[in-house]
Amino acid sequence: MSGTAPTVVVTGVGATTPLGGDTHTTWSALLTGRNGIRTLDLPSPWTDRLPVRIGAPVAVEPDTVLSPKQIRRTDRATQLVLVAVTEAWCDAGFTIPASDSDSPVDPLSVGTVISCGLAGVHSVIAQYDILRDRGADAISPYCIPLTIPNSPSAEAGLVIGARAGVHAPVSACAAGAEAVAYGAQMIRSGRAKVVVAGGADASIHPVVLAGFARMRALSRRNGDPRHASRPFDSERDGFVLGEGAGVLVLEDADHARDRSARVYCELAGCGLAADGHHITEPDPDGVGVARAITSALRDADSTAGDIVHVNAHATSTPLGDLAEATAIRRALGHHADNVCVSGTKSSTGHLIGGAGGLESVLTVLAVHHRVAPPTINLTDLDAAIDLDVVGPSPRPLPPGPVSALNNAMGFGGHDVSLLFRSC
Amino acid sequence: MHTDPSTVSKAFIALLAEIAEIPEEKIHPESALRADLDIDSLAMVELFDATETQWNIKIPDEEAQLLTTVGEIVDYLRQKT
Repeated sequence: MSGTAPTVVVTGVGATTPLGGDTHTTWSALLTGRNGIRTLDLPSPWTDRLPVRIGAPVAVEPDTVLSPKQIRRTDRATQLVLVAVTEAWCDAGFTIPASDSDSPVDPLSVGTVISCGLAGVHSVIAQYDILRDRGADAISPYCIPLTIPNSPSAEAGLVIGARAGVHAPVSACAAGAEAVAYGAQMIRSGRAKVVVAGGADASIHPVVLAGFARMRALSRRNGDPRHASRPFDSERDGFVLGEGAGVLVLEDADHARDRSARVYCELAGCGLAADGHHITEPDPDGVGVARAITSALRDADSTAGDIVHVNAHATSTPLGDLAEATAIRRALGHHADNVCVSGTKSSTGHLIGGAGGLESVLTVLAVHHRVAPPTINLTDLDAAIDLDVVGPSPRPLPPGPVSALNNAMGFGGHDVSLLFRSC
Repeated sequence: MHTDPSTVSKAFIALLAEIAEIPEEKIHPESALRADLDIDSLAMVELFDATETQWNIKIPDEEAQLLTTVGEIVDYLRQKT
């Protein structure tokens, strides 16, 4: 961090994913090579001709954690956010809500920045069905709050009592990472002391599957779901749609020190850029992603040689993985030889708006525990990928100070890179 | 259909408890929906929808707006059923 702006640290993590209903379960499953991808239970007969029938649903249904009232009043994406935010907030040592008189944080200093890529998709389609079949009087009074894309951030803000601001930048699959960058900016500018930031999505629905399938974006290994998501592998054929949420508690380092909080690592730099190339196709030269990485390095007062690990966006699409690998090489130069790159979507599938949030959590834990998670299903590295990709087993990170990047790219040409540094 | 007065009261309180996630013992005839039971504007719509379904009646909006306590709604249901 440059200048006199506050240093931003990570003091809490929360997640609910295809690998587990909390962060610890997810991380443990990831390191042991577990796989959250499976054949979906789709309605018949109207989806029988769907060309993609695999996905990565969350391991723990939110209705087993939240109350019936919370379930009735929120979309599934918001429900996943509430699970992850509650975990992260408590992990950071705070109480719910922040307005409690014994809370160690002023609600006026608390914010949320939580994004989705396809928020409310289940709700809007369900309400359409109700309108068509039963009429306008049968529509839920929660129809609009169920479907507005800022609902996850706003509902999370209500739970923890955030008053500094609740925000939801929208940038498709980069949204969760962009939210983390926005949260850091809130602290650096002095507008907040503590911000819960990340992303979520719950978009495993036949319409979404059909839409991505029409774009030829999804893997069609319907008969072999466990090997379908294979970032950087020569046999990759598309991504696998997942769902879940991942959030960080970002905090002004002085504020964290004053309350003796446990610190996972520093969020030292944020880089954002745009491809300016195509609405869905990545720039094959990776120029935008490379600029995001370079910007994150500069923002952190770091150099390419400081980076030891990258949690890549790596969705397992032929074009995307290659473009990102080109970008990493372009930005880090020969230092990329000393960087171990992980593609964790091999285990979790692609959480869309949740990807940047979850993979920020995983990058934080990689720095904190000094281990790069595995890329399961990597059996034959694509010859065009000039990177050291971690294979099916986790790899220790070197001793001493370490820095790691989390990359995220989204339809629209959004590029985000976040730099996490050990404390 | 519930015609017995005490049955109407018990049934409505059970419905309200379920929707608002409030213990039944905290709901009394004089309880104000908004001030005492924290039933917000959206939950109010949900409550009247469920009430209409359970008692198979239609409660016009202009009449619903006049019903602000548990007792007032129970009395209304007794008259309508």
